[in-house]
Amino acid sequence: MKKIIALLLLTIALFAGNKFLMPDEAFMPSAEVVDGDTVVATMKLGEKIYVYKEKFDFTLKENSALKIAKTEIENKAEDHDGEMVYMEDIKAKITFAKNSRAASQEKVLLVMHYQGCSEAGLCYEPSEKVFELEIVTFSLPIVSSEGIVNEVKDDVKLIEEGTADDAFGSSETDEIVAALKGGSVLTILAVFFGIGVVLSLTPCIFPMIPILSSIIVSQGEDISAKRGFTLSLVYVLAMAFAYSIAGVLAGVFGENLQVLLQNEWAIGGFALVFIALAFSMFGFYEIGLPASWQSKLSSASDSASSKGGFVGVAVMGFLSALIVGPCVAPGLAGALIYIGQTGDALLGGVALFVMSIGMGLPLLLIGAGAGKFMPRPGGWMDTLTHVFGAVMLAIAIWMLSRILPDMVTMMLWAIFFIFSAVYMGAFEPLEAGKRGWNALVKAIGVLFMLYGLLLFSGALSGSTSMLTPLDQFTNKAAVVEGSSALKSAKTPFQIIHSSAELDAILAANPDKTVMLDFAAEWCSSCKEMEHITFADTAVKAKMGEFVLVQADVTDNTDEERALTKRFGLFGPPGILFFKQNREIKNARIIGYQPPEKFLAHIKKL
Amino acid sequence: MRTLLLLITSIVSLSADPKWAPGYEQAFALAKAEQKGVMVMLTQDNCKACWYMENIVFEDELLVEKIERSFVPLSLDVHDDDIHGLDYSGTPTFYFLSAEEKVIKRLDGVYNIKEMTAALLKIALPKNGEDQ
Repeated sequence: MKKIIALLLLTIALFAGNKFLMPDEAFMPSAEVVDGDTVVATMKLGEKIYVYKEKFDFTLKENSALKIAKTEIENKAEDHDGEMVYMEDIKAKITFAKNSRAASQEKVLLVMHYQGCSEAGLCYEPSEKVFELEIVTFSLPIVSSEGIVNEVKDDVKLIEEGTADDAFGSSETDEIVAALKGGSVLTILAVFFGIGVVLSLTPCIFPMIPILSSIIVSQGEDISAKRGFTLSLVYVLAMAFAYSIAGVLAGVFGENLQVLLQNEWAIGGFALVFIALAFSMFGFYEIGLPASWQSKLSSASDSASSKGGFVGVAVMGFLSALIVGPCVAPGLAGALIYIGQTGDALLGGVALFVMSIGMGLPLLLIGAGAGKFMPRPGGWMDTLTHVFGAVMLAIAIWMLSRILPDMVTMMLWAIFFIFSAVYMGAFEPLEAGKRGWNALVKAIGVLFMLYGLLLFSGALSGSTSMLTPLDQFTNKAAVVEGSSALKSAKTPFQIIHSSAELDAILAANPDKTVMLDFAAEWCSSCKEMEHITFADTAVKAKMGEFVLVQADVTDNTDEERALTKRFGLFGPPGILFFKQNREIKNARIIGYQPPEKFLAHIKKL
Repeated sequence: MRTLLLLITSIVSLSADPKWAPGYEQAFALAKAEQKGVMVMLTQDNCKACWYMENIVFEDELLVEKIERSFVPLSLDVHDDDIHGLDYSGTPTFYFLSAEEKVIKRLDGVYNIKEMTAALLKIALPKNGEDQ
């Protein structure tokens, strides 16, 4: 003790009489968000300044949705005359937990509390510094609002470092966010264009192909490769524009316009447009702009008709993007999260635009091709117009299937095929000597008729499967032998629609891996996932080890939206994995994954 | 708590220790009566430097005698007590005031016995109310 005092006396004698640092020179706190959900706080210390260990602390102000889960301080505290103190710049990592009310991003007021002294012999007052930070919440562990459901009250259970989380590195989406944050503008745009081109081969874009083709065909007879290309370009630009706007809105407000538009009115309206177009192509009437508009346009430009066409195509492109193909893919999600995190709507928006152009690339090629190979006016042209009229009707039914009961949809398909068959002359005799193509068309017509009838009887029997419309009859036999085997063939998901249901399942299965699949009737990638990936035997076997939960967000109710927002998703498809009540970081999958890739992924869990 | 600590310290160490005045008003009343100034020591919890002043420096009999010859010692906690607007950037901060509550000298931070003694000598000189 004497030695210590002597040492203290010596140190103090050395510095006594020095000018002391002002508090803001002695303590320079700062904090920043890393990886969206973690805060790294640093306390730079002035010369000869130290901070008491027990007086260095973090709290949250005015946010009930998040709480601090863990504060890790990198420095080791040292014994300084019987007090544990930090003698060097302090670095702390703060992680959070959320309750079920947390939005995808939460603004927090993080308060750093500290008190320390100068070794020159002055002790500063306890102080605090408040940081306003935005925390992305989807990967945070969950604490129920009551704090009882999950048995994780104040001390949130955390998965030990170095376990499941690390197996994945960072997710594709995270990498894209990182690329946006780090890269130069040109690199970013190039990367996004590339992502777009890759995405163009996914189901997000497929429905656009018949739509665009129909539109080009409906443009009439004076179509050329150049005009076909120009029309597609207008369509693609409008589509890209719509994607960007929707994306920026989603990023900034967290509401996905595309998902919001998945309601009866928008889909019904859009389907009606297609039905109207189809009938116009069948020659029942001509669709054109009102005469007054046309004359205005014509005074503005000599090529009034082509202009009118462009406006129509642009509108279709815009609406198609919003209504037809709501797809959330890694690139899109990445850009949306970037916009949400940084508020940089401009770069995020431009990135989305460039990505959408990439997505539209095949459409441009198809448009140019459609223009080039379009037959000259005459009998063939009429037939083609009718075929595309039928395609438009098919699109209308396909769109309506999102809002109509499956049985009604199936009935519509039945009617569609039966009508098509009649128009194809399935019941008309083949004129002698005029077989060839006519026979082929008639044969196809007969097949359509048969299929239509099967669908018709299937729909009446209560079947909903387009591929096995008679399953109601065939299954009846199976029921006698034992239906359990058949039922188990389909992957059993527990369907949920709200956060509360999810929390209950998570709470009930603390030791199991829970797989949460976001899906909706209108999500084409989800269907692919369900019919290809989940149907794979090896995948199914592995998935059997998980608690399988499917969040069905088809209806886009408030609760479903809240559930989607809670995990920072902008819509389906998205697959998340949970262990011990907490999402396994970087394990989530956005977009379609083929069976092999998916299997490899879930094997790591 | 602080008072309790002071009480214990004063009981344990029968040596020096300034006779801290019980309060601000009492200190100045006493100063007026005895024609002295007031030495205010601003302290707080978790103040290593204050601990050093209280337990090492103010244990020195000669120093304490010098202080008490010219000043009534008063210790105020910056958080618990009314410090009557005295400014500080940390603790300990010492104020030497006239009985009329006029600031004669402010000392920031820790001073060892020798330095405190030297400082006191300088302060004691213009005791008649003149600022240094």
